[in-house]
Amino acid sequence: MKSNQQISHERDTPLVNVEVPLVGTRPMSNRALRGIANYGPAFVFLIVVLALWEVIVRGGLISATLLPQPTVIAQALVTHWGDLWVNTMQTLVETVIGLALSVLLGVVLAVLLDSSSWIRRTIYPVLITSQTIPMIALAPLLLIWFGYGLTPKVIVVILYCFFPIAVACADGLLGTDPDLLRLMKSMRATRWQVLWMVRLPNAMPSFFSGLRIAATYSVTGAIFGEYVGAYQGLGIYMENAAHSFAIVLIFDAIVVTALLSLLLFGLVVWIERMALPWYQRSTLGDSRARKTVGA
Amino acid sequence: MNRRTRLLLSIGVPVLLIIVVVGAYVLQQRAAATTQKATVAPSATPWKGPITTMKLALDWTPNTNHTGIYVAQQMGWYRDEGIDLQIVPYSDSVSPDVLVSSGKVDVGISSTEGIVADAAVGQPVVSIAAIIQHNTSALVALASSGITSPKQFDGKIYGGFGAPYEQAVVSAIIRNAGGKGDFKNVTLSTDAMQALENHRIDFAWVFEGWEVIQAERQGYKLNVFPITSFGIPDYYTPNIITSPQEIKEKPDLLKRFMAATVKGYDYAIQHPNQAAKMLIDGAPAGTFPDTGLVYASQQFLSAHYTDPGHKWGWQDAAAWQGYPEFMLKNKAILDASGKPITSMNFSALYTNEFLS
Amino acid sequence: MTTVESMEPGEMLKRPKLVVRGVSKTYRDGRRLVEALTPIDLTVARGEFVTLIGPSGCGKSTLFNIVAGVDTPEAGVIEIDGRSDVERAGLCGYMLQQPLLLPWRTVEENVMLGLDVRRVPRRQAQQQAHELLKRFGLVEFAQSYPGTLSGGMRQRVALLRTVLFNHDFLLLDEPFGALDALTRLSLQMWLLDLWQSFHSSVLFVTHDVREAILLSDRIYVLSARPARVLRVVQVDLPRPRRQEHLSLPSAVQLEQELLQVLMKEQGA
Repeated sequence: MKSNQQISHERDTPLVNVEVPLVGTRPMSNRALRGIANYGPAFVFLIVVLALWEVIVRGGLISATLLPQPTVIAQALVTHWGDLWVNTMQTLVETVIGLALSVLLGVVLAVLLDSSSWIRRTIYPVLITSQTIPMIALAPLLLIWFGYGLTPKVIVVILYCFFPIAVACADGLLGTDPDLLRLMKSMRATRWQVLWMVRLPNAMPSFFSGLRIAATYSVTGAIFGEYVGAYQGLGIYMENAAHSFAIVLIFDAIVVTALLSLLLFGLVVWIERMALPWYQRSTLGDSRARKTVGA
Repeated sequence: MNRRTRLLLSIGVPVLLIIVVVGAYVLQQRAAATTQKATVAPSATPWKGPITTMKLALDWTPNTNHTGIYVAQQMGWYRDEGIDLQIVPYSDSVSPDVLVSSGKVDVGISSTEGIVADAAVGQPVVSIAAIIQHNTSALVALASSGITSPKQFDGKIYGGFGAPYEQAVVSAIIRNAGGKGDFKNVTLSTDAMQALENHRIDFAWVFEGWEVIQAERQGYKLNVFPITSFGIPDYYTPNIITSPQEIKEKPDLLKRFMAATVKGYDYAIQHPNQAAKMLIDGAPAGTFPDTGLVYASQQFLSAHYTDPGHKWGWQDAAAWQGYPEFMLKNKAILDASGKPITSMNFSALYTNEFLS
Repeated sequence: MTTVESMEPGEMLKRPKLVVRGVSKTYRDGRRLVEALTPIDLTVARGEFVTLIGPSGCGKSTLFNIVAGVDTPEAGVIEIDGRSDVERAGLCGYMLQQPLLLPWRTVEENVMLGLDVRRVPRRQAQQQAHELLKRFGLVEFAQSYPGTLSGGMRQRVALLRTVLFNHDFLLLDEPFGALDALTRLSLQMWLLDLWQSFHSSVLFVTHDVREAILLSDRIYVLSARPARVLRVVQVDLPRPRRQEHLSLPSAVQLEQELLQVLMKEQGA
């Protein structure tokens, strides 16, 4: 019906449509420009900090035995790359496996907590307590029960990482619009359908918030796990360096740890951007559209 | 990209990455294992019979206190005794004493103080050899501080490691030097030498064979006050320990273990440089960023493992009486609830029966 | 082809789509008991467009929830197509004021939602959704996400989703309440077009009297809470309805009448 075509365009104008390219530029350079705009400032800031650091230590304001210069650190990084690589791989494997299992555990827990209020009341305090157990008490148990292999490190990573994921995901599940649930009910959706089609996707933005936090802590968690007892890993590498007074190598390990954390974080952000394009597309210019179910 | 594709990628990409990382790790481990196997020397007197696995827990990251063990391993002397020795890495949070007394490892490395404390809390271990015949620890201060005698430690800051006996020992040293014995005790989790070099603390308690040598190499001049020169009874540290259970059940194994270990330390006494190299090769890759330190430390320590004419590892009753009594008198031995104990049979804490 | 306009009023009432008899509902709000509906009766004939108007908070939504099968009545009978013993959920297309579009689904996928719940094979559902979008002029937005659409567009998509799930019986709870006047008008016309295409039976809720008159065959006026039926009026305006019909004397008179009743209720 032609009149409908007319009517549909008359008044309604869509909100921001992100896909429109800037006037007068080719799409490729536009994306490159945006990349520079996004990461440029952080890069520049980093260079400035490093330069200042180098100057301060060279000038003797801070002793080089406490805080070595960036150039010295970089040099040692290249020289000791072989050893570092082996230990990095170890820590990376622990982190990656631990984080993956944390995601599974976190989501399962979130769904469990969401399913019934008495489960929530029983388990939630236990979860919170799990985060307060100091490593000093836990470490001996882990070592005696699980030894020096991969298991205790993975457990420590899970301990650090599952909680933000579980809590964030549970909050996301909780925040489903009750009207939407009524709509699903009126369509005769089963509980599982509602969970799979509505509540879990709805919880994804929150889930990713939690995952970002967990990813940032995961590498450090693996290193703490290594302190329990390990043959190799970045944590052990740092410990050896400390006991041999090789401060520069400690910083090398720190640089690698930071890079790993950034990489993991970046990976999570990339997955989020790919999995939730709707969430990203609506963020430019309209905060209203950020609400999980729009007006 | 539709919903299915997005879902698939969101799960698929991470799974793929995990597989890649784990795969690379496994390959790397395999490659490392094949290169590791090649280092042990062929045997002159091979062992006939079943090979027993033994686990040894270190008290610290590998250092020159442990050289003899690594020598014996590299030379194949444990293998010749029918032992597959697995050196278990140092753990920040679990001491070798706990691992030994709980039966998780067969032998470990500890100190007289540690062994006495273990007995007091009801988890006794037994010292079966003294690695260094005389105490080689000292209080040190920067030469630039102008401190020339421990009596000048009064009122100064001591950077310690949180043990209950530190207060008693340091105080006694100061008083024996003519001071009052008052000092500020702060527990550090960082390296004491770093704190000392940056003037955060005034003095620390360190090993002459490691920290003092390192400081010299870094160009710091230290004033060194060996504790035994200031009235502290001589005692053994570190020691090789095992559990009473192990002694009861596997005395023969312990004898064989010690036979190889004695050979290792004897070799280290005779050939410090080669021994140092074996320590460097035997420890996990990357343990010694500064190999020069290892060689320098080994030169010092090889001369101290034992006295001339004295068999390595043998323990005298005097060393097990004097210092433990000193600790007892100063209420520095605490039971499991933190109360100082009043008496203990120290002679039960050591034995030479596994040394030939 | 029989269309709604050509049927006699008597014929329509012969086969009611919905019969509500003596339905009441009380619910607990904290400590007190609130009576939302006093025993209420109404009917919707097959193919009829019935509107409920009443002051805010009178319980219209509660009644809707009950008819849609989301809630249960305390007393009374609800018959859909003459059956009162079957589960009501799934028998009607239910639409609330918020479009409730899932932001992670495209427009086409949102329209398919009801069919997905019914486990209709994906390709089939996609085809039907696509057809519907094409038919009602929204096909160029099929792959867009709701976040990029305006309010009016979203409401249209929500209507299409509702209709695709069940075009036989529609429950529409103030679907145009949040829109501006011009958008509302265009959507009202669009809804009438839908209604005519599918011969749906519609139960519509609004508090806009003019909208009620424009759209409906019959209007029930409800009292303030607890809701009961105050008045039932027939709207005798020509079909197909046009905006101009609202200026006809009969329409103006009806509007006045209804407003008066409502104002009295509001004041009460």
